[in-house]
Amino acid sequence: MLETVLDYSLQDLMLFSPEVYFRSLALYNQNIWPAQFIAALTSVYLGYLILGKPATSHKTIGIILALAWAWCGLIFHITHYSSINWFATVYGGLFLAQACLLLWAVLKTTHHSILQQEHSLINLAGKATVIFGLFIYPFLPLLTNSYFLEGQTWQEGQIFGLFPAPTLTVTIGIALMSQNYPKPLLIIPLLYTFIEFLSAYLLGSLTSCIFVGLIILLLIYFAKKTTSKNCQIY
Amino acid sequence: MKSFIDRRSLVKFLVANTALSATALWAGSLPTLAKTPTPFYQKPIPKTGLMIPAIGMGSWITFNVGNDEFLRNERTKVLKAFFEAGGGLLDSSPMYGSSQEVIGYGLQQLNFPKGLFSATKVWTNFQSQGVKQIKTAKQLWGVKQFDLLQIHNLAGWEKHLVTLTDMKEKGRLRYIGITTSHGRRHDEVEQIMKTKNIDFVQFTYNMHDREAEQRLLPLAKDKGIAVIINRPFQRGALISHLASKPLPAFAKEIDCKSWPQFLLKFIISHPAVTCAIPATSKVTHCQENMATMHGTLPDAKMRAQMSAYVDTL
Repeated sequence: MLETVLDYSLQDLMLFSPEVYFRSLALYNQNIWPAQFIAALTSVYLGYLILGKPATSHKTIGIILALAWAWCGLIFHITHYSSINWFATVYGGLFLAQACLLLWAVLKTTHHSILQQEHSLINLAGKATVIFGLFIYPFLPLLTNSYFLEGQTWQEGQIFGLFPAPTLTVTIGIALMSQNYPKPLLIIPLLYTFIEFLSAYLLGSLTSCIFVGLIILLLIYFAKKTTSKNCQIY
Repeated sequence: MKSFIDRRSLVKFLVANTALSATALWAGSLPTLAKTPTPFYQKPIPKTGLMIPAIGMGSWITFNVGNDEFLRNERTKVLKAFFEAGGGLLDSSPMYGSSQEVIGYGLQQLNFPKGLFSATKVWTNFQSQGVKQIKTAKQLWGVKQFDLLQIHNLAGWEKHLVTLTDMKEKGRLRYIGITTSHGRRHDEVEQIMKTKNIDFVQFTYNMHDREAEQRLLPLAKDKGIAVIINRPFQRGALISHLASKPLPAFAKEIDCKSWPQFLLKFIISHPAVTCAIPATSKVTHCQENMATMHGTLPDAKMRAQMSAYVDTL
C-alpha cells in the first residue's frame, strides 16, 4: 500500500473537498451530541488542574489526556473520519498508541510532578497553548468565519477530547510546561501536527498556521531540552 | 497533433450518431434521451463497436461525501442529471474514499438507469486483495458485474491482468483497462498497450497537458484501444485560469457557450478519444458538461485554432 501511495503527489492524496470536510465536522458533532457537555466540563476542569494545581495533578491530567486521545482515535478517526479518508484508520491507530503511552507514563511517573510553574518563555507559551486549545479552539469557526475559512459555522466547532486538533494542541501545551515530559510521548503528536498542517494547507485553510506554530514550539522545546535541561529563557 | 477529424469524417460521424441515437430511443435502451436534442455524440469502443456517450463522469473527490445524507442526495441529483442528459460511463476507484458507496446509493435511488456503463478499478499491489476489492466494489455499486475494470495507476498490473483476463474469459467482465494520470509512467503504459490485450486505457489529456498526443493517442488508435480521458479540466485549474478570459468569437461555430464546453469539445473531437470523464458535484455543471455532446464538433483546423487561442491566454 505504501508503495502505491508514494506514487502520488500530495494533492492527489487530498480525497475530499473543503465543503465535505467541514460538513463532516458538523455531522460528527451532531452524531456525538451531548458529549460536548461532558467535554466542555472536562476542559474547564483540566484548565483548572493545569493552570491552578499543576504540581499535584499530573496523574489526573495524564489520565484525562489518555482518554481524550483514545476517544479521538476510536470515535473520531476510526468510526467517523474513515468514511471519507482511508488514512484515518492509521491515524486512529496512532492515537490509540499515544493513549497507551500516556497511561504508561502516568503509571511510571511516581516521584514528582512533570508540570512546572517556572517563569520561562517556553512555559508561558505552554500555558497560552493550553488556554488556546481548551477555550479558544472550539470557537475558531466563529472567529474566522467569512475571514479565513469560508463556509464554517459554529456547528463545526472542535472541542478538546472529542476532536484531534484541540487535543493535540493541549497535549503540546502541557509538554511545553513540563520539566521532564518523556520525549517518546511527543513523537506521535509531532507527526500528527505535521499531518494536520498538510491537511489544512491542502484544504486552503489558514488553520495551517496554527500547526506551523505548534511545530515551531515543539522544535524550540526539543532544542532547549537538548542544550540545557534547566536553562530558563528569562 | 498528427491526426484530426476532417470534415468528411465529421459529417459521417454526425450522421451515424444521429441514426444511432434515434435507434437507441426507438429501442428504449436510453429512455431519458428523449429530453435531449440530436445530434448526440457517441463513440465506438474499437474492440466491439459498442457506442458509448463521449462524455462520461469521474468521481474523484466529488463523490467522496461519506455518510452525509444531504450530500449523498445532492450527488444523486448530479447522477440523475447525468443520465437524463444521456450519460453512460461512470468511473470510480477504491482509492476515492466513499465514492463507490455513494455512487451505489445514487444508482439505487435512480433504479439503476439503463444507460449505465459501470467502470471502476483495482488499486493494490496484491492480487488477492484485488479480487477482494472487485467483490467489494460490486456490493458497493450494487451491480452484478462491471462493464469495465481498470488497473489503477498500474499498481500490480501484471497480477491483476491475470485476474481480469480470467474474469473476461468467463464472461464476468466486458472490458479490461489500465489507467494513469498527470503524465505518470507513460513509458510503461505504452509498453502495456503494445504488448498486452487490453480494451481501454485511461490517462490525462487536456489543453495544457498534451503529451499524450505524441505517442499514447496515436498508439491507441493503431491498436484499437478505447481511450478514457481523465482530468479534462486539470482538476479545475484550467477553468480557474480561463474563467476571467473571454471565449473566442469562433466558439459559437462549434456551439460552445462556456469554457468547460470549449475544453471538453477539444478533447472529445480527437479521433482517438472515446470518452472524457469530467467530475463535478453540481447539477448545473453536469448539465453544462453533457451539453457538449450536442452541436458541432471541431475539425482539425478548428482544433488547431482552439489550442492556439488558449496558448495565448
